This record gives sequence, C-alpha cells and structure tokens, in this order.
Amino acid sequence: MKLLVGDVPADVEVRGGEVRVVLDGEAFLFRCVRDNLGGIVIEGARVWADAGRAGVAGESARVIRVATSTSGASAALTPPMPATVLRVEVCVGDRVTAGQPLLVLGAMKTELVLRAPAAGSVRALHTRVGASVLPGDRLIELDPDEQAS
Amino acid sequence: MKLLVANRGEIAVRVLRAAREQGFSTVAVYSEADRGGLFVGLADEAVCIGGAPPAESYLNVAALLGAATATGATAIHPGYGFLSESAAFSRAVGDAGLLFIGPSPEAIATMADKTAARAAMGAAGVPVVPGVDSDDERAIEALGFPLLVKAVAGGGGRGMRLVRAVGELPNALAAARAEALTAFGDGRLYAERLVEPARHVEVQVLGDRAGAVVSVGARECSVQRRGQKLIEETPVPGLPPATLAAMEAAAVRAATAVHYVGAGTVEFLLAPDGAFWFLEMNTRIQVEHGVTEMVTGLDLVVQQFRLAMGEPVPAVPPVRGHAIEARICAEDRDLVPCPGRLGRVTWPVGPGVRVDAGVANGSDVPAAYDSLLAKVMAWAPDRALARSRLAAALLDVQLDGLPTTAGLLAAVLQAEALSTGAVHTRWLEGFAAGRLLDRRVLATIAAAWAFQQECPGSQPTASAALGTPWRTLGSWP
Repeated sequence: MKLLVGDVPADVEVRGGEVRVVLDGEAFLFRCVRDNLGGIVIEGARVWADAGRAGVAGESARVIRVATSTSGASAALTPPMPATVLRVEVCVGDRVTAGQPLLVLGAMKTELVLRAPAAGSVRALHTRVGASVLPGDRLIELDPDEQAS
Repeated sequence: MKLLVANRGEIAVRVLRAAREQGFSTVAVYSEADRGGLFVGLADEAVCIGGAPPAESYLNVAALLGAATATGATAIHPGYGFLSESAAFSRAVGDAGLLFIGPSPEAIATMADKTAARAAMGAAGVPVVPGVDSDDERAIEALGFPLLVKAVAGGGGRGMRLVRAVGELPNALAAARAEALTAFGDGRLYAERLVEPARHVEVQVLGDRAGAVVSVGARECSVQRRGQKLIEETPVPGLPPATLAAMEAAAVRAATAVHYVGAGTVEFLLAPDGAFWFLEMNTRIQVEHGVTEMVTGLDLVVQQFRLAMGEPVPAVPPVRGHAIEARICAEDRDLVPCPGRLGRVTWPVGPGVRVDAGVANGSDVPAAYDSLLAKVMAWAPDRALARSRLAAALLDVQLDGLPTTAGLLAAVLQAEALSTGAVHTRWLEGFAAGRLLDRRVLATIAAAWAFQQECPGSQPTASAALGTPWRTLGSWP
C-alpha cells in the first residue's frame, strides 16, 4: 500500500508479522507482534495506531492511504465525525492528484482535511461551504484514474 | 472542612488528593463533557454543574455556589484558570459564608488589572517594564519600537500584540482592543517596551493573614510557544545569587503591598545584563508549582489550605537539587490542540520522577477546554541529571490515540541551547518549526498503521468506532 505519513510518501507491504517500508528512498524491515492486551509492539517498542494516526515513543503523525490501483468504480468520501464544511477546494470536473486536499471540515475548533485517496477527477460534489455533515453523508465522488498495474 | 474544587483536569486531581490526605471531605464539580473525568471519581461527592462550555459550568458562579450549598461544602478551591483570578468570585464565595482558598478580592483585583498592578508595584519600589498605562497613541509612540500592546484585563500570555514600527500601531491598537473586548469583556489597553531576548523568571511567594510574606525560590519558564509555557525548572540556571536575592526581595515587596494571603507567583522579565522588571502577579497556584515542591519538600496546595485557615507562613527549607517539568498537551506538530479520546495511557515511573496527570486509560479530551493532559517532572541532584532523567521519562510517556508534545519536549531537553541556558521566550517556535522527524521514526509509524490495518487483532483501538478517516462507500480496491 502507498501511504502518506505526515507529508512523506511511504510504500508499505505487510506480510503477517513482517512489515517492509520504503520511505524517502530508505528501506526498513520491521517485526510486529501483538502484546497480551492487544497492543502492537515493533522491535520492542510499543506503538499505537488508529484510523488516521499512529505513533511511537512520544511522536505521532497523521497517516492516510493512497490507493494504488482502481477497478474503475468511483469512490465517495464521507466525514469521520460530525462537522461543518469550511472550504471546498475543488470543482466538479477538476483533476486531482493523490493526497490533494478536496474539502476542509471543521469540528470542535480543529480542522480536518479530506484528501483524494488517489489520482482522479471529481465526478460530483454533494455539499457546500457551511453545510453540517455527518458520518455516512457522501460529500464528494471521485473517478479514479486507470493505472497500469 | 468540606472542600469543593471549582475546577477540572489535572489541577482538580491534585487539589482533591491533597484535601483527601488532610482528612477533608471533598466535592468535585463537572460539566457534561467531563462526566467520565478522572478527577470526578476522586471526590467523596460529585455534582454536575452544567454544559460543556465553560460559561455554563466552570465559570458559572451561581451553579458553583449552588453545588456548594447543596453538598454543605465549607470551602472552595478555585484551582488555576477559570475563576481563580476573579475578584468577584472570591467575594461571592466569602459572601456565601464559605472559605475561599486564595487571596482577598482586593488583592486579586489589584493584580488582575495590569495597569493597577503596575502602579501598585511602582509605589512599592518594584521595577516595572517601561511602558504606558493607557492606550494613548502618541505616548505609546514615544516609548520606542518594538513594543507590546497588551490588554489591561488580560494576562497569562493572552491578549498581546507585537508592534515593530510606528506605522503598525493604529491597526494594532484597534485589533487588540476588539480582541480584548471579546476575550475579557474589557477593551482597555496598555503598552510595554519589548524586552527581547528576555528570560521569564518567576518567584513563588507565600503570605499569611498576619502580613508575613516569604519567597520560596524562583522558576525559569522560557521555553514557551504563543506565550504559553511548556518547560519550567528550578532553580534558575545561570542566575547570579545577588540577582536572585534582589528578585525574591522585590517579589516579597510586591506581595506585601497587596496584603497577599496564600500562594502566589510574581513574574519578572530578566534581561541578559541582569536587569529585571515586574511583569505580572498570578494570584493563584500555578501549573508549574510542582518543581518548587520537588526542591523544597513543601506541599504548596497544603500551604494554601493552611494559609487560608489563618496559619502562619512556614519556615522555608533550603533548596536541594534541581527539578524540571514538561507539560504534556494534546497537540500536533504545529502545536495545534487536538481533542479526542485517548486509548491506553502509561506514565513513566522511577526515582525522582513525578507525574501529575488529569487523564487515564480511555479518557476523553474535550474540545471545550485547554489541551494540558499532564505534567511530567524530574528531580535530580544537579541540572544535567534532571534534564536527562526528564528526557528519558518523556520517552516512556505512552498516550495512545492523540498527538502530544511528549516527543517534541524530549527533543527540546536534549537540545544544545537548553544546556547553555541560551533559551529565550521566542526560542521554541524556531526549534519546533525546524524540526524534522527521524526517517526511522516515520517508517515505524507507517509500519504501525499498516499492521493495524491489515492485521487488526482482537482488541479494538481507541477510535475504532470512527472507522477510517474517509470511509469509502462503494467499491474501492
């Protein structure tokens, strides 16, 4: 899978307890195990991960997944929490790159940027600035680019 | 004594524990957002006082006094922030027949009004930052640039604007006035010459009802961002004994001038040439009080109880060793607050390590309040050992689910500038901005996330309920 860790792209492959990461031209191999409480330990260090973030030893970073191949179907993006749409950064028909900001949501005095999971184009926008949105609402639909496998 | 703690988070935990040790009955008050808060369970009784917005709960005097009446509380401790520096609250508590654990309404009022405080200090022979105690534009221009425009009703680093040239002044005054009106309900301004680079040094004082005031050492608080402290320590490194003595004497004069009863802190700006000026006085317990406790053995919260009840100031023990504190806040790498829910929480332990935490496993971090989660402190016989002990302790801080300042502060403690005492109040912004995460750390984070995605395991993680950050509906490979 292709990830964006903070702003840094990473190629990651998980094979059971072995995870290979190529980041900024450097290759890493990590052994990952679960501890007795279900937490994750990597090379002896306790780490944590949830839907949008992961951390180790006091540091953490936002992680998003960038899709590597498509089936031609469109994808709809939905907010992870009740929020207000602060900014709409694209228009229907725009071409977008992987990781490109599409919408900025505001919730509880913080901003959340919804980014394109892969390169493609904006098929439809179902929201506008100022709208109150809920998880499950389809905010924006993308047509992914066909990619050579 | 039945003590009601009119606050939340880590300071409520701190005060409730001290009260319990002293054998008091205790009452906690909480907003709807703090229903599951760690501090709530520590008291004998707990009362919900309103909705999440502070105005409906922790700033709601009627609700607080109502809770005190309903539970038969005999005293109220205001903590820090919220109503701790509200003269009106201090007066209302007294009028309700309750003991306010803090100074008199008059002392609070004098020090809360920054121009009144500066005037009182001038009269007491305490040097004040050269400034203009009004918003008269011409007088302020005559001060010379750069300068700071500040809110009279502000403080704690809020409501300040830097003005570097005369052309910026009219707009800065207008904007500052509007902000002050919104934030503090009082648009009055004053101006001070900018002392830069400056070290922020504060003196802890204790005062009793008989009028005696003692100083309990000084703290250095120069690692800050946006005027808010992140690392504090005591004693102050590189401070000549004569300067320390002069600052402590000035602090005692300041507190005596307002007949101060209780624990308070007098803040000074210290210039590289050793000159110092009064900045403000905080008429409450401070976040960083623990480092003073670690080097003196005093319990400042217990001292607050004693002094409020009419006992005399304690004998001041000699300072032993060095103590440093790091504030663990729920903030991302740009130091933007990130509310949410914590997963597993583990704190460092060991000789000379102290943690004052307001959160535990699974705690919610509501958006309505500040982002401080805990303070991690380390004591050692000397400063170098205290620094390395604290840096090591910070790497053992495990707060799953939210970004925190733990990693940044561990890096700060190892930074060269800190060891040479070259830190000044604007240093951290530059350090944080220039900091890149180690590639191996980023790769580990990527591996953790990917492993969690592909091999979810049996234990749900902190925000499994939220799903992926942008759940896709419809097929997506």
